[in-house]
Amino acid sequence: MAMAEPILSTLVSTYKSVIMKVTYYKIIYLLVLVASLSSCINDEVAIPKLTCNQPDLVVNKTVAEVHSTAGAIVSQYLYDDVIEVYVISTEEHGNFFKTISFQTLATATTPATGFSVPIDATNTYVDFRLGNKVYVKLKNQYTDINYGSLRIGGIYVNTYNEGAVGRLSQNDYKNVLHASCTTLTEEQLVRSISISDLLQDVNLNTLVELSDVQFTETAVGRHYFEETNNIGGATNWSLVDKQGNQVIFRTSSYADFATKIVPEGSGEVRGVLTKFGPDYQLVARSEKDVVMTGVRSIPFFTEDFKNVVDKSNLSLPGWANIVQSGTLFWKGTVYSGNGYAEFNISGTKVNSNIAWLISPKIDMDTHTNEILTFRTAQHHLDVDSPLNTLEVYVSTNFDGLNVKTATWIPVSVIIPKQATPWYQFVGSGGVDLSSYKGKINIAFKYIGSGKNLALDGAFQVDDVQIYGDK
Amino acid sequence: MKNVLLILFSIFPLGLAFAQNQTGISGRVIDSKTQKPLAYVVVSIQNTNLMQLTTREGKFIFESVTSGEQLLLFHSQGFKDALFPVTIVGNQITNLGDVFLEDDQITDLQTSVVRLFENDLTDDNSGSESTSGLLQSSKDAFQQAAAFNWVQARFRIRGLDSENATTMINGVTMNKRYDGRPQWGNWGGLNDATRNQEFSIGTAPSDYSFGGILGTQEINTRASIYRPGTRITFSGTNTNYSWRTMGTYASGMGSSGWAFVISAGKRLAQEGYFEGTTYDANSFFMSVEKKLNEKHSLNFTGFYTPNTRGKNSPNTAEVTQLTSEKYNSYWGYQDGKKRNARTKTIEEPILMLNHFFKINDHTNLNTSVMYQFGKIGNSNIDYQSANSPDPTYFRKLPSYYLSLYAKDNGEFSGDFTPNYENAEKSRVEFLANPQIDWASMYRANQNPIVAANGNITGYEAVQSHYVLYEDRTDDKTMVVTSNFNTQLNENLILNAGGSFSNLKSHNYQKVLDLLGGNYFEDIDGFYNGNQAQSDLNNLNRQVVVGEEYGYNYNYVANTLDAFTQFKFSYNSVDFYLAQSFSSTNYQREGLYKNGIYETISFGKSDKVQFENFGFKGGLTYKLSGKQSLTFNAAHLTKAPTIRNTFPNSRLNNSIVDGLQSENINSIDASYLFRSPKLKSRITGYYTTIKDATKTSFFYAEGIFDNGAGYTNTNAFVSQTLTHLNKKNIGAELSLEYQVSATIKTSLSAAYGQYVYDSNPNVSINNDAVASVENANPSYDFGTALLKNYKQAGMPQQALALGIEYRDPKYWWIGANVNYLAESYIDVSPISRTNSFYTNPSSGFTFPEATEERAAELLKQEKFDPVMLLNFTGGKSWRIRGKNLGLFVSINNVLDAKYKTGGYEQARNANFRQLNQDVSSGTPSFGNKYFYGYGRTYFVNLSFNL
Repeated sequence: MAMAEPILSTLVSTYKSVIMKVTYYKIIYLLVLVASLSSCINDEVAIPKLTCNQPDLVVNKTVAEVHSTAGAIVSQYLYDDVIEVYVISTEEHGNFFKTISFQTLATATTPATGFSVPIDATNTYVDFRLGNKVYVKLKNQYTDINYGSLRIGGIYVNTYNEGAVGRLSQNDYKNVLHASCTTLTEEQLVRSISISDLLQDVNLNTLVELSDVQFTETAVGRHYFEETNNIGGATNWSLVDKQGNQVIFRTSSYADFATKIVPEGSGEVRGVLTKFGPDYQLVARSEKDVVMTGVRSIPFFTEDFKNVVDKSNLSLPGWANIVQSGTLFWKGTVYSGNGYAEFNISGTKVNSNIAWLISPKIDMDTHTNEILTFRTAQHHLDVDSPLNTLEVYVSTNFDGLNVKTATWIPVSVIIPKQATPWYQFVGSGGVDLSSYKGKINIAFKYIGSGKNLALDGAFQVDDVQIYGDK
Repeated sequence: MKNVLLILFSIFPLGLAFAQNQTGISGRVIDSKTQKPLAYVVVSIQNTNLMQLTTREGKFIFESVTSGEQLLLFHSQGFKDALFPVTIVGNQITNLGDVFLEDDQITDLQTSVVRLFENDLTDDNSGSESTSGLLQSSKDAFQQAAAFNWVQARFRIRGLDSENATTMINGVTMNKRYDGRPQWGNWGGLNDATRNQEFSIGTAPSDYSFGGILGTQEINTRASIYRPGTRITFSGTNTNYSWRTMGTYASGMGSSGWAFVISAGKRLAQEGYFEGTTYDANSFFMSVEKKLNEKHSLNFTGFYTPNTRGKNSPNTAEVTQLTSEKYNSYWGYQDGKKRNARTKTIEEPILMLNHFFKINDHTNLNTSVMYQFGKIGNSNIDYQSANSPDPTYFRKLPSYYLSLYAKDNGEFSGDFTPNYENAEKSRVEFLANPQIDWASMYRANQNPIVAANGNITGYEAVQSHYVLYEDRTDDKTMVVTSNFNTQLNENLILNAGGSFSNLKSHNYQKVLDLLGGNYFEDIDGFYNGNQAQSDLNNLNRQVVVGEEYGYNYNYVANTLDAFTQFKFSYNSVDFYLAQSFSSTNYQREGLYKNGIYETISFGKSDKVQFENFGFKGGLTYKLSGKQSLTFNAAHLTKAPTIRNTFPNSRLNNSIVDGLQSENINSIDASYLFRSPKLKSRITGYYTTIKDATKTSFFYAEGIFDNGAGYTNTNAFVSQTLTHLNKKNIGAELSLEYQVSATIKTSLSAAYGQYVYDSNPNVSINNDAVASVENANPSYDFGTALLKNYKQAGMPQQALALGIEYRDPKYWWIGANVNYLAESYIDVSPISRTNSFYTNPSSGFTFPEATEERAAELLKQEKFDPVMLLNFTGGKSWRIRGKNLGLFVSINNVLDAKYKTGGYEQARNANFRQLNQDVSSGTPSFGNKYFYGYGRTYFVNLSFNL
């Protein structure tokens, strides 16, 4: 083209001189040009003015009142009542899907209470932003209590003709949920809580923040979602605190942080508490809910019992499994992929079952400020009695075989009570072992009866860990 | 055109000057309106090789004519052809005196009307039209009917796509390498400036190119051949635009050796025939010629035609029933104005320099250099973590609830569980909100600003969840062409040509409007982690208006081609032979390292190379002065287009497995009868296109299943058909009868059978299952049983009956009635493969599947035939030496509603899904249709100054 340019410019300039001569045509021509150009459509679009003009509705009920009328069996709410609540979950980052969790604003005397609304529509966060106050019109909607959690929504009847709260249809949900022009900040809604206080149904569907927690060893370095750990489209990892308490941290495969790496540090985690079956699950709204800026505590001794053989006598290298009374040993149990130690009386009618599960020798001279944590759960515990319990001891002179010849120093730990839900692991609390020197053994002593059916509760032990400073 | 004819045929008088036989005929051609002599009128004695152009004084003389009855034909652009019977007396030059040619107002004005039909059948962004511009040819009644009356219903001559027609400007082929089709928009709105056109239909020889099997169209913009004068037109219509104005001035060749033409036009619509279809097209044209000396002339031509139009959606029967045939789901109100989300913008200026070299009286060498650059943009809405903004998204329609089935019960289909209550709610909701909701997209892109008391006081821009973007193609094309022709002797003309073209095509996605947000994330939200990244070399980019994102690559295409053609002309027979050779190569260069295709997306692809040959020949046997027989045959191979070469071009460098050239054969035979009263043509043709490759993109639901059952089995897939054969057989009839001096009737008929003639191989590429180990996740679906399915997108049968009255006082009216039938839906090949019967989650055959039911489900839908009644009329006045013309037409007077095309949605890709969807009576993924215009008008006022 470069070559053609001089010729072009000559042509153009000559063309200009020619057209100057034909002024008559030029005038007409210009008229046409002007007519055609001046008529351009103004295709610039104005940006819509966004204003908030949703009305405020009159509130005449509290969530607690609704909760008290709901039961395990789905029921229709017949009255023209309105409650007000705040959005605490969002679909924006994919970890929540077709559901919104709402909670009330806590007061000095009343903690927040929450519920969830299943909706057959996606990306509802566009209209129901985090913190937004929402009025819920209850008339003709359905309520039930599912795994301890209040649900409000439509109705779903399965093929066995069993009803439950179902998703509000995409055509209906905006007639039930009314966004307002008020939005609170996260800080006004979130509650700081410890894991041990957290794991209760009253906290379900509320926004909570855990401090000083970290992901358990198995999760560190993995992705938030792992196909090999896919439980119903999501992965459950666990957060653990300094007391050995754990709570499940659940991440959907659709979360936009699903392929990010689980951080190893310790810190704060925010999320909405949910429950599936007996399991409490903390669900983050986005990756920003996980702030692990602290240093990770790494145990120098750890046993997670993942190598036990299900339903057989526990036999792990270094561990002693000793029957003092009766015939039953500690057994390994694997449930949902998680292994733990369990003492469960079955098929024996002896008066007394006493069995010791004793750790390998642990060297207390390599670290200082040693803290022991573990988790225990119970099932079939009928009474809180010393006759059916789990005791924990430390010995510095256990020879590996003879329980009776060793000196056993009892330590004070938290174990599940009869009132604790079955199979729900509770943290031991931090047991200070800093006064011990040399090599020690930790012993878990089960006490129960096979004959007295009130004393045949079972205990489970998991995640024995000792932290210390180097 | 005239100049070439001038060159070719001016040699005859020379040769004849020495002839002793003074048997002949002479005369002078006069414009009946202006009473001035007409130069450059083609005068020929029909069915002989005698032909010449009139001189500047309008004179012609044939001096070597066989005595007896002959037919003398006068042809000039813008005038009615005149065919006069003459008796040639031996040894005498019969002087006819003055022959008056009438302005052909009808054709002249009608040519302004055509090309109103720009919707492509498929939903992709190819941006070109599949109907050929060859329809503008006005040679006989058939072609006129096709051009002006049948085109409304997307009639295609011989059922061939426009990629089979070569479209040229000044000898430069304008067909795009991407899809083989010309981009009419590049010279749209310049009807007067592109008036000089030369057509050859079918494989009949063209002087400029070997051509495609549908024909060759050559637009000539040499400044000196325009009729001097000024012409201004104003038009109003209710089709795709509302009004138009055009002005053209041509100087003619001045004594200084300069000639120039300038032209400008504007077409505009706030809303065309379909709702929300805007139109804004500006056109500028100039051509300047400098005659350097008797042998050399230089001509510069420039086109600049920026235009933007809003597209309209194809709709399912359900949507049309809820709304109307004019419904368009692509627009919505924004601030009280209709805004169309899917606009097409073309801005590709053409600069061309032509050198005309008259080596001697018998020989010419014309050389062109063309450079074209600019952009084509197709806009659309992109969204992340947000719902589809499409108001007709399947979940929003009543049919979603009416076609619900319970989950599969083991191997068996779940129960039909329609939800009538919600369907009714959806219906009400859709009717209340049938258009795009722009405000809600702005809301999604902004967060509330909250005062201390918790009250929302305003909104601030945050990450955009919805953006308006553009699929951009920025082509730079450089072509050098030379065309040589010489009269070797009295009977033989040689044409030869060679051309080199280089295309660099930059293709990318570009943010046009953040819709109130402040950035958009350059990731594909359908995927996670690295796979979601558009470009691993630039992770997690946040893009703003004007930036590229999503995909970004170049094509480079080089083509070298050459042809030679020998045309022999004798008294009773003409024949020709032509051959062509071309060498083509393509290469893709990825500018992004796509997260799904890490290894094969960045950098250059393999270079694909094709070498192609073509041979054709034909003859015309002149039975008598009135009758002749013509035969044409061609065999050629054709390189696949770029589009069909790279099946997943947006994301990676892969090349279609087993890619090969198309193999094309065509033969036709015609019988022509032309007398002053009766003109008739009957043509039969047989065309096969073998080994074609075809790629397309769509969402498919349920083709893939990963076995785990958690991930959904929906997928955005690209589909490639290979070894696709097509067969087009048919006949054309054209009959024109002059009842009296003022009344003319015509009958045109087309009968065609356009079918697929093979069972092509289908392979599907699914991005969702690509991985490092499986970089090219292509699934071979085996063969699709497409043989004998009809080719879609055009009526295969057409009939037109016309009558026209021309009053001597310069007004005329005409009416025609057209019947168009045998138009079919575009079928989905996946449903015709063996996998149709296979349950993707188990691999077993569906227990309920039967061949009888499959035959019902897979029966190709045939559209209802349509009857179109059109009226035309016009008048011209002569006021103080100037011409004023009025043209009015009303098309589809009966306001018939009809489908012009449509396609099966490929989302129901297996028996169960399709059977459930269809059995429900209200399919959620029903066929999508395009509709024709209802009653439309066109009024045109033109001034010739």
